[in-house]
Amino acid sequence: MNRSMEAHAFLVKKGFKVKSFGTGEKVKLPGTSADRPNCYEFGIAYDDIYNDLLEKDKSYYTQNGLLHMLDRNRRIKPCPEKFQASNEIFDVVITCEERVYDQVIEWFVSRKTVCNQPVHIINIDIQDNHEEATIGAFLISDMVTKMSQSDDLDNDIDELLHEFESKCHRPILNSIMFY
Amino acid sequence: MSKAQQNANIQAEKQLIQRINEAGMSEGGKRAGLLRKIIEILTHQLSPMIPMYMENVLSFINDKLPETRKIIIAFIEELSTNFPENLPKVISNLQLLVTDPVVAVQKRAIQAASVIYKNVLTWLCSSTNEQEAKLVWEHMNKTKLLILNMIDSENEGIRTHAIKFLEEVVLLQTATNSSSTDFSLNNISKSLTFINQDALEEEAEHIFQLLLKFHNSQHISSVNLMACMTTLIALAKCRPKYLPRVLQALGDLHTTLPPTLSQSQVNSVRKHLRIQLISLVKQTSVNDMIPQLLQLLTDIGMTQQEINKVVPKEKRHKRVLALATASE
Repeated sequence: MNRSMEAHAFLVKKGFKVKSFGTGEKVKLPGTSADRPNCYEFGIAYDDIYNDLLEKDKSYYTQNGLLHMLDRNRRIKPCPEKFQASNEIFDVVITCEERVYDQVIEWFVSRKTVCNQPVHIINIDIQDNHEEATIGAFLISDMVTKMSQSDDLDNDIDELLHEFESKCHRPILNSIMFY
Repeated sequence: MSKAQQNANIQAEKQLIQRINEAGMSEGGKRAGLLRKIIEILTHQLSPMIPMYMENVLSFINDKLPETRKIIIAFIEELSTNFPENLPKVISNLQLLVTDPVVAVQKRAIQAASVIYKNVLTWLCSSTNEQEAKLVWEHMNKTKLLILNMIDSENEGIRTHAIKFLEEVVLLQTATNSSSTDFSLNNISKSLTFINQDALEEEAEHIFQLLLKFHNSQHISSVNLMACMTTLIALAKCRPKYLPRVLQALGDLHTTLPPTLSQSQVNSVRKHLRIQLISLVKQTSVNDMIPQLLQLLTDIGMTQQEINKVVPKEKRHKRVLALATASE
């Protein structure tokens, strides 16, 4: 909801056809204490989450930036979406955390391929805070721009990611799966 | 048919003819857009008229724009799925598209070929015209051989697509002993005199060996290695007879990864291997090989605690029993 949406907003501005998703069971946001997160079902409107937190503790959620983040998100799309529930076919899936990368691959492994269209899954680690999300969106945009400049991404991806990795100094994981 | 329906069809046919004429006179993206609409009308509103207007669509197979040729591929794929009686008239075009000079078109054709191959086999079993069936089979076989040779292509993406196609071929040309409803060698009618089932099974074995060899080659790229690994594990899941050789190949890979991979690629490959093995161990079809699978999970660095987390208790128990038997 933070990193992927920051990248989503950035990539849309650059003209890419992009969507953002969560992969967990529920949408989890930090609560007023570590053992009491705010959990919501996928599909609930950002507006509703915003109002819920506003009602719960306006000053706390303003201070920790959650209300600001939700306000940004609702300008991009109506509600959080779950990756595993999507029927769309993508050329590239980018994750911002190894755990999410694993979940995406596990989902592809568990389902039956239908049309055999390949999809590149790429992970670039981004810490889950506001500053890192901004830097991460720049990095992802840079990587995606290079990909879009390739005439034959399937042929160039190994080299392209290798070059990108040495430039951004962050470890990259990548794999290929099929729809 | 009601009068209202007849009128709607007349209108749709008029629209279709108009768009066919427009497409003939336009070029580039505009022609591609028109072609998409023509196919939509033909396959959704006027499907009984497909034989009459099919040639008008297929005539764009040599269009300069690769996108247009990809639309033709999608059309052939759609016909093979929903209107397979037209296969005798369209199948020869697939062969041309698989060898298209543009890589993107080639890849789309290979991707469609695996769907079409399954549809061809299904259609052959219900076809009543032997001459037509034989013709379709010959064309499909030629296309299959063309793609088979593409595993050595210089282009990475073509190799990736070829691997996936070959996975489908092996599945279709081998028998299943489970209650799976998927089409397999068991479903191919014995009355089709021009199809030799033993030869098909032999060919599947040959392709499987080719995939094993490709998987363990020292110069394979990381992406193709992972694609091939996914394919081998899918084959082992669906056809347990392949499981021992797949496990052997995965074990060999773990000990000798291609020297050309960078550290991140090594990490990606090892992670891929781990996720795939965990998915494999959960399958009931692999129960006979659980001890070997658990050993491999240990070899790739999973701790006992991690294994306990992903492997059901009854399967772990099986391992203990198997090891106890082995040490007696």
